This record gives sequence, C-alpha cells and structure tokens, in this order.
Amino acid sequence: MYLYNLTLQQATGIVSAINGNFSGGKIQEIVVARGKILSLLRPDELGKLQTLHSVEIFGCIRSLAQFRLTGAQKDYIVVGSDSGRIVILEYNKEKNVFDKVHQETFGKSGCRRIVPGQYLAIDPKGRAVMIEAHKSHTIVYSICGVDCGFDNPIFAAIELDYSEADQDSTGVAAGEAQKHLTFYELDLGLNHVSRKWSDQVDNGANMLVTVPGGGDGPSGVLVCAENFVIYKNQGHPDIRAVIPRRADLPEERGVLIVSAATHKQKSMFFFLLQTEYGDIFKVTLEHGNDGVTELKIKYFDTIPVTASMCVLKTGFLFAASEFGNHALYQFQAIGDDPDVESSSSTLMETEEGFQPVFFQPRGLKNLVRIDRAESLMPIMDMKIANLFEEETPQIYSLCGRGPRSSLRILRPGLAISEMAVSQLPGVPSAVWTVKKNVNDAFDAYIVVSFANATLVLSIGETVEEVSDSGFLDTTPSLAVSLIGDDSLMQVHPNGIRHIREDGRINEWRTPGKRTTVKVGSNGLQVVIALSGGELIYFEVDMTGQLMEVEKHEMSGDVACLDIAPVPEGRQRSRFLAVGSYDNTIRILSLDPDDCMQVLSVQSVSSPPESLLFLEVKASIGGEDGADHPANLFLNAGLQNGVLFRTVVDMITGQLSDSRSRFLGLRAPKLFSVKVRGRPAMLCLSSRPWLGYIHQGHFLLTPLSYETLEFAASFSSDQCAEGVVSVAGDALRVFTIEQSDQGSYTAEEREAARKECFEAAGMGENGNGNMNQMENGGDDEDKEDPLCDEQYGYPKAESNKWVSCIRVLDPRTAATTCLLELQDNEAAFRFIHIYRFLEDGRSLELLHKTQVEGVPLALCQFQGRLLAGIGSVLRLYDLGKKRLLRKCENKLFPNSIVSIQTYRDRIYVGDIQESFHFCKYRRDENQLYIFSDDVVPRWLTASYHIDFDTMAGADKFGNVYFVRLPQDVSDEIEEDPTGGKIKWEQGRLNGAPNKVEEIVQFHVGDVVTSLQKASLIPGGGECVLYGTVMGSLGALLPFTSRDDVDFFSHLEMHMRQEHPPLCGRDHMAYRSAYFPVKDVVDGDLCEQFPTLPLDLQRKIADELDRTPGRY
Amino acid sequence: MQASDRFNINSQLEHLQAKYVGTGHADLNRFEWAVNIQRDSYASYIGHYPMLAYFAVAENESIGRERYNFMQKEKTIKSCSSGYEVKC
Repeated sequence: MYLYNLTLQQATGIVSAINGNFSGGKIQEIVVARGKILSLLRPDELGKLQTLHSVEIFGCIRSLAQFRLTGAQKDYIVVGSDSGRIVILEYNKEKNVFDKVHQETFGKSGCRRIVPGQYLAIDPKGRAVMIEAHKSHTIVYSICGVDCGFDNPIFAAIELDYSEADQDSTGVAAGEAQKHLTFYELDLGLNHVSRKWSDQVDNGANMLVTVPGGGDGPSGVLVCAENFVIYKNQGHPDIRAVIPRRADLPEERGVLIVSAATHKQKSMFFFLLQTEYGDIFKVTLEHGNDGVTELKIKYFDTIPVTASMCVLKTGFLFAASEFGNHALYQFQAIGDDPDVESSSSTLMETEEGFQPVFFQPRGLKNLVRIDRAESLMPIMDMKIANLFEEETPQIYSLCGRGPRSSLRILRPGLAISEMAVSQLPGVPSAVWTVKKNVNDAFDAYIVVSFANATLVLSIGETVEEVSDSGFLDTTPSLAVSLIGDDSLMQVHPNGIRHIREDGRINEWRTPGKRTTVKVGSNGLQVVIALSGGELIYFEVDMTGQLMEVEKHEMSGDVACLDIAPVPEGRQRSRFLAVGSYDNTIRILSLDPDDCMQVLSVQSVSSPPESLLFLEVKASIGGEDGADHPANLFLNAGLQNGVLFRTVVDMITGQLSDSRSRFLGLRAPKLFSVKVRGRPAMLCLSSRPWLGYIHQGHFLLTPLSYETLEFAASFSSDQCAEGVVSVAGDALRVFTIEQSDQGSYTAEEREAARKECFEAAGMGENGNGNMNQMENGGDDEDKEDPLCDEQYGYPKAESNKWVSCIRVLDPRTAATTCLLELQDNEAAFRFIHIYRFLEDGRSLELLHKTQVEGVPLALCQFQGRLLAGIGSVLRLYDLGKKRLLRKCENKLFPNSIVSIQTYRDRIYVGDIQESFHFCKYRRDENQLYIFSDDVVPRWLTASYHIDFDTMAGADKFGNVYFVRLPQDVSDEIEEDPTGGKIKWEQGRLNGAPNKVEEIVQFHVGDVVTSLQKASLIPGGGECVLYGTVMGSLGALLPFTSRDDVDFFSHLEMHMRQEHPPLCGRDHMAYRSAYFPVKDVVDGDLCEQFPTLPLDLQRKIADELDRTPGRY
Repeated sequence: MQASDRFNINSQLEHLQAKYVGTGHADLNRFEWAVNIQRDSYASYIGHYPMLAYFAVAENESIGRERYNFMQKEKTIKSCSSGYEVKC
C-alpha cells in the first residue's frame, strides 16, 4: 500500500508570534510559527487579520525572533528549529515569499537536550543573536538580550548548574541547587564571548524580559518568577514585587508568567505580562539617575491564556491563544486608571513569606476585541459522518479545552458570509448586475429575469425597484450587460434592446418567427443564437452603435455560447466558443478576415450546458504568488455534471491539455466573478464551486452554501467583491471569505469538552443524528458572573472533578440531554450504562458497575461489552443490576486505550506497546492474544482499516499502519484451535505472531484521531487525521503503480531542488523517529507550482512531462 | 593494536562524554542511564510543542506552566539523587 499525505487544513494553533515591519515601511506585520508552518499576518486598517503568506518548512519551529539592522526600515526573522541550524529569513514582498538570507549549521538535527535551538535572544540594536549556550550540567530556563545601547552586546540567561547535584547521592546538593542570572558579553572587537556577571536569582524564575536601555530606560532585565517579578541589573540591588493573585486561587498554587510583551514609545515604556490564568498585568518601572527605584505591577485586563502576545505600534494587541481562537484587541486605554496594584515599595515580608496582593478579575476595560482568527487547536477527537445528508460528509470535531471548548462542524469548502436574502414575487430564472459606465467602480442595477417579466433593481443606499431604467420589463431576459463604454444591452427572446447613455433606445428584432435562445457577449462583441441554429454576430462600432457583422448557420441548435474577453488594447476578441447538442464544442473565429471559420473542435462526453472563457493575466508574482504566463482557459459545464477545462492557444485557437472533474449531479453553470481583483469562476452545480488562484495554484473549491440557480458578481460600496444569486424565490447576496489556511470552514456549536466521543450507534440502532460524549473538566463553581470563556474556570484543588455527558442535536445545535456526574465523579472508576430515550434524544442511567482501574476503552462485541480497564481486557454481559463479568485477559503490558472489533477478532491498542490482535473463542470462553507489534508505540489514535490491518498514531507525531502477514492470518483462521497452542508458547516475551509495519510517516504533530472516509461523492476512501495543533490531513491510497512512480520521483526531485526553508532535511524530518515507509509527502509535491519556472521545467523534463500551466 | 591507540580511543571517548551529555560508558549504572533518558525525554517534550500541548490538556495546566514544571529541579535533578541509593 502506498499513500499520499496531504494537509487539508493547515495547523491553526500558534507556537510563537513576533511583530515588526517585515515587508519594510510602516506596515505592522506579525509572523507566527504554527509548529511546522511559518505565516505572515497583517491586520488591515479595519483590524481584520489577513494571512499574506504561509509556508510549510518541514521542520519543527521552536523559537522566533525579529531584529532590525541599525538604521534600516525592515525587520528580519530568525528561526530556531530542530534543524540544528539557525536561519535568517527576509520577507520578499514582490514575490510574496520568505527568502533565506543566511543559514548557519551549529549542531545535530532534532529537538535534543544537547543541541541549541530552543531559545533565541536578539541584541536590541540588531548586532548579535544568541542561541542558548549549552554547557553540560546546566539547564537554561530563558535568555534575552540586554539593552546597553551601543556598548558591547550583553545577553542574560537564567541557568541552573546541576553538576554538584549529580555527584551527590544524598540529595543535599540537589536541594541546594540555585538558579543564577548570568550576563554574557560579546566583545565585538575580539569577537569573543565572556561571562560577565552572575548572581543568584529566585528558584522559581522562568522568564526574562529585556528592559529598554541606552537613552530610553535603565537597562537590565525583568526576571519573572513564580509569584514575583524582579528587576535585576549588574551592580544594582534587586527590586522585587509580588504578582497579584486571584482571590479564589487555592493557596498551594503559584502564579506564573507565561507570556510577555513590551511597548516602547519615545517617552515611556511598559510591559504586559500574562499569567497562566490569563490575567494581564502592566509593569512599569520608576527610574532616575540612580537606577530603578520602584517596580509596579497593575492589573490590566484578562484575556484567554496566550502563547505569545504582540503589541503593535498601531494600537493593537495580537493575542495568540495557546488553545482556541486567537484574537486581535485594540487598546482603549493603557491602564492609567486606578486598579489593584502591587509595588516593590509596599512589599511586605512576614514570617510566612511575602504578603500577597489580591484582586478580582473584571470585564475588559483597556482592551476591546476587534477580530479573531479561528483556531481548532487542539482537536481532541473527530468523527466524520453525514448526519445532515448532504453530498459530502461533515467532520465533527471537538476542539479547544475547558471553558473554551467547542464542537465544530467542518465542511470542505470556502466559507461565505451572507449579506442579504430577499424574497421575490415569483421564481426568478436569472440575475445580472450592470454598471452604467465601464469606469464605474460599483454596479448600478441588479436585473432579475422571471419566466415572463424582468425586474430591475437599482443599487444605492438601499436596493429598490425602478422603472425608468429603459429595460423592457414585460419579457424575460436572456442577457443583460454593459456594452461599449456607457450603454446597456438587454437581450430578450425577440431581439436586442440597446439603451444608450442619453436614454435613446435602439431595438433590433429577430427575423421572422425565430427567437433568441442563447447569447454570448464580452462588452464589445455580442453573438446571439437563434432557434434553429443560426448565429448572428454584432460588434460595437466607433460611435457606440451595435452593428450586425456576420451570420452563420450551425448544423443544429446551439446549446451554449461564450466569447473570450477582449485582450487589453485590442478592439475585439478572436474566439467564440459554441457548444452543440452533438457533444461538441467548436471554437469559431471572430476576426474580420476569417469570420465564423471553425478553428478547432473538441468533443466532450455529454452536451455542454455552459461555457466560460477565463483569462489568467500574466503576473510577475506579487502578493498572489508565483509567476504565471498569460493563458486562456475554456471551461465547459457538461450536462452530466462534469466540469471540462481546456487550454486555448492564444494565437491559433487550438485546444490542448484538457481536464475534467465531476462537480455534482446537475450540469454546472459557469459565471465569471472576481476574487481579490483577479478573474475567477463560479460553477453552480448541485453545490456551488469557486475556481480561483491562490498562492500560485488554481484551486477549484466548493463553497459552503446551498444550491444556487444563477449568479452574478456584485459590487457596491458595502461589498466590493460580492456575488448576487437566485435560488428558489429568493435573491441572495453573499461574499466569499478568503480563508487562507485551507478549505475547511467551521461552524461552531455548543461548548463541550471531550474525553471520549462516539457517534452513537451509527446505522446500527438507527439514531444517526446523535452524538454522545463524556465530558471531563474541573470547574467547581458555575455561578461566576464573568464568562468562563474569557476568564477560565476557577482553579480547583487537585483531584477535584466535574464531568458531564451531553447529547447534542447538531441540526439545531441544542443540547437535548445533559447529565452532570455528581460527587466529584469523573469518567473513571465506574462503567455507566445508559439507555437512549425519545428516539435518541436523551439518556437514562440503567446502572453503574464499579471497576478497579480507569476504563479507557469500551467497545461492543457480539452483543456484549468489551472494556479495557488498565491492563485488563474484560468481556461483560449486561445484567439487570450491573454488568456481569464473562471473561478476561490480564496479559496486556500497560494500559488499554483502544478496542476495535471485526468479526471475531479484537484489535486492542496499548498506551505504550502498540496493537495486540486478539481472538475470542466462545466455546472455551477465552480471550487470547495471537499477534502483537515489535515496536513500542505510544498510541494516541487508532483506526481499524481491514481484517488484517490497523492504522495508529503515536504521541511523537507518527502515523503508521500494521498488517498481519497474509499467511499468518490464513493460518490463524484455518487452525481449529485458532493458534491457541502456539500462543501458549509465545515469542520475544509476547504473542507468537508479529504484525508487520507497512506504512510509516512522521506528521510532525500529535495525531489525536484517525478515521477512514470518502470526502468526494463517488471518490475513493482516504484516512483522515486531526492533530493537536488543529490541522486536518489525509492519507490517500494510490491506485496505480504509475502514480506511485511519478510522485515518488517528483518528491525526490523536490527534495533536491527545493529543500525546506529552515534547513531541515526533508527525508530526515519525515523519518524523525522511524524511517518513512511507502508514503509520498504531498505537501512537498504541492509546492511545485511555487518553484521558479525554469526549475519547474527542469524537473518536468526529468520526469518526461511538461509543466502544467497551473 | 598498540597501547597508544587504545589510549587514543579512550581519550576520544572521554572527549565525547564531556562534549555530549548522555554518551554512555562502560561503568554506566542503570540509574544514570535512566536519569539520562528521563532528562532527554523532558527536553524532547519541551522542544516538541504539540506534545507539550497534549500534556497540558491532560493535566489541565497552561502550556507555560507545563514547560516550567518539566524544567524544575523536582523533575530533572531530584529524580537523580533520590534514586541514587538503589543503584544496581
């Protein structure tokens, strides 16, 4: 089995974020590391976060820092990763890529104890960067640069030397081990680093923050420790202040600072420090000539706990939440109002230690949230099911944790936001928008056609019906468009109505009793098809008149028409495409010298329903991605639901390189729209699709919207790039959200946290639209007036639990049943049996059965219950009062975390020792293990693939498949004892047979759920996975040997020609724990279109192919 | 093999042991070996953010707290001295 790994939705969690002016100039930008992805975000003027660029680096980003060379206008990015190399990147705004400026190798690859890369520190003047020094027997907790103006750069580090503790077996030295703050100086003249100063520091110290120096401040560092913030500098006494505590915090818990941001202006500076509970404190220093005199910590606001905070110069705070959605806040104030404050001058030391300061969290006062960026992190579990009976299944995922957890329903497709829906008097058949002048920015009219009338709506402050537009309203319309510079055209069955700018109306009538059936136009040229198959060609002449130029008789009725857009600087376009009912598409010339000559013919599988020429203009990169030559594509929606796309030669009109794709059950109708100012295509089949260019790829992506009949682009001052559409008797206006991360949209539902999530009895007992889940959390007090989402649950004492079970109806997003477990009871110690009531809407407790361990896995098996309780696999029967033990096997190594069954086989996953294949013999009432794995695997997810195969994921970020060899499997099935005799012998301290690893791949992220599903109607099945960082990926099996060959060679060439950005070797990364086996990395192959054209050609030549136009 | 060569290899090993923490040697006892693995594990957890987040979810702590706990001497140093007695 060969698989193709592809990320469907990039990770949404953030490891680290930095801000600066990366594209140069004054624009504030944010660079975020999302595990293995580096992205550049920019908040626009309205405060909406836009992703400009996102690149997978095939490595693990551990730290980020930005620096600016003295006097420069542009920030550079330093990346510390697992590559054993330090990489300096520059954002190239012309090409919209990160360019590698420098790469320096310093150690082995991988996240190891002895290889630096975890911490980065920058000299504030941009003269030096330090990666943590790794001396043996020293733990480094944090490093930072010390601002000392233009003197030699100094770096500070919190270190702990444990060499003595290691020598001392009594543990005394270990108890006395003391953290030190050490200053290292880089002598620029000698190019040498020396240890300058070292001083004892609080043993709870965990973070350093640079204090501005030189002319801006007192220099030195802030040492954040558990419960304290301490100002330290060489030759300066410590200034210490206590971090205020929440009043309801249990006494044994400390307060730890987890993220920090500095704001510096010409006249002042302050620090924002966030605690592990989400409270932000503003730290200010009183300083004069004799150094710092006072350190003040004032309560600022409370926002969800962040991994990184960035204070932007434009007055925004970007908060990269560690779990759940990220947010952008705007400063309303900078905390000058009086509030709870702790200061170094009022610090009281008593016999029990320092006197704490208490505060109560309150609503936001200084910040206001203006935008949020969706984050699925962490996806704890997911199920793929088609509960809504749509064309494609939905992905139900449990995201986030604690009070910020949610059940999100994901659908493949772009998100849309609906702006208006209005009912129309009848059922419309078509809709158009027109401008009054070619130079207008916005549309003037929306024209809706009904079966026997036309309705004109004018767009202004409001959209209202008008009758003075000049359009004929007593007839249906076939096309409405702007023609020439400033006149309007309405094509109706009996002719063409040409409305001049001054109100004059020219009417052209169809000859005889023939009616117009199809129209194609491009603003300067119009072709109409009459019933019977006659084509009449009109052109706009110099005076703005519509002149008949040519007639042409086709052999039969015309199914559809389109004229290519007029190339820039030309009078007319040369190509007319005509689709006929004899399953052909013809390209006709519109040039005066060979007018209506057939240039080429293409036969297709079914009569075409709709045609659209899409011109892709040449670009030299820019913010949209890679280079593209100009190309003209002919798209055809066929009656069998297939979208057919072919390249039209710009000179000869020859068709080549045709591709087709099934879009849905209805013939796709094609409409031209704009996406980010570039031409795009909207295809309306049984669901809408959008074909557009994103970062150099042409993507055809479904929209998460209902079936539409007809659509047109729409632009007004409220919405620059919208779409107006008709469906049923409603007119809908919507915009397409540019989701930059990938093509999944989430719909948030009821907050709920998971331990275990089962789509209950899918198909088996007929309650398909039900989810059952067990919750675990440890909130104690729900009467808090503040919303838990923002402030978090109050911390409980350890070993306190609150759990609940919730039944949700995903259609209404309503909880139909909520069972709270009482008396500190969590999801362990008991197995509860519930009965579904009211057609699966609620649950009723039947009975509880006490067990001796934590039951982590349950599975139904032949009408009984299999439970994994610690290391015991047990079979229960349902009794009246409790579960009845039937049979058990205690031979599992550690703890059972997953059980799956198929026929009489039981596939058991151990928390540490991979899969065990078991069998149950009913006649002997015995469970026995007949096969296991030879590799220790710390399972986090598992899925049953087929009779002999299991897929699993381990906590180190690997996905693997194991299979029982065919002969062993046959032997076991044929053996009347089922391999029992052999089992008693055992092998290598385990089962007699061993499974073989057939697939192995390092995803680089902890996979928490695996499921097999088919996401395209009629498409093949693939294995989907969800990860802790909030990404979704798929493993697709290859169907032919040729594809495997092609993709493995492409992957090989890509590895050579396009090594990962941060210096990690691609093959080594994908084999980080075990050698990669039979998986081609699609994420790497998909970067092919971003390569320079000559490189693309070179690789294509070696593969005996030609590079695609897209 | 000459005696001087052997001396060379030994000195090379010593150099390795000094440079790379955790390089084994003939007299390594079971406990030192385990301590090394434990420290390597914590270092790896801290380096791999998704794994750190996974533990943070399980323990219902913030990621920053989890990182702090993994580095505190209770986990990295004391484990060494407390078990030293049972060396074998």
